[in-house]
Amino acid sequence: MYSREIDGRVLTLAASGWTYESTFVLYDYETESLWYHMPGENGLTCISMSEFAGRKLSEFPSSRTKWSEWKKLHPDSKIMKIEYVNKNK
Amino acid sequence: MVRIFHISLSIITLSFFPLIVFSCKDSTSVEPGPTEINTIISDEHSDDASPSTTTLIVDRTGKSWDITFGVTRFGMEPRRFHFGLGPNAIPPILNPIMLSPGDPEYPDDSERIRILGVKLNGSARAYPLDGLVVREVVDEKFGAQHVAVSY
Repeated sequence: MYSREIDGRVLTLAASGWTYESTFVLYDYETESLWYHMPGENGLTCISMSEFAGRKLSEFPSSRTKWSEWKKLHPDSKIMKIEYVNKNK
Repeated sequence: MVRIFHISLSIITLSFFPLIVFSCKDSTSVEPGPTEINTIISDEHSDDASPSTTTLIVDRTGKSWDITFGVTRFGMEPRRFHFGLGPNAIPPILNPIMLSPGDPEYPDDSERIRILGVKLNGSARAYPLDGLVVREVVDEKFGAQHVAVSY
């Protein structure tokens, strides 16, 4: 998870349609700069020669886990609703 | 349920068959990806003798994207960029619906849904990976902090 804030501005991040070595390259609506998580580095790096060239959007810690495990640690956690996943009971 | 699954799988496999066959037969077909790579040399911004190079990649819609800094500072290779459906084909989720404990559709504690979990500014939130893979980015806000959750 990355911050969308830089220099007091809030960027809207989206998928650019590009991937680089199987990793999605994001872009921001505001400047159309491309942002990429450079392997071995924290955060998203702006790879375009725009006003944000070389700048970073900082990263927040996140966990890839199962809901059942996450709930043990965060019993009050919210979860994003997915419209198109069928729960087979 | 099992029989339906097998029938569905057969239909899906058969649907892909002609796609696979035609892709293999036509060796000159263009695969999805950048159709051309443009490297533009520009010396507008340099004071010394060496010109500065702008590197752009052009997607299938004809739109150019600047990757100069990625190339010059990180050694990214233009040919390793691949283009899929395009930026507007996978819009980010801008207003995610978050379920709270007690909501009718809130999943049971025992459900082994794969998620990306984040805790920030006192709020713990889980994003099912199935949803993230399809939409790629969720633009969210934790308190005053604007964030992007991505796969």
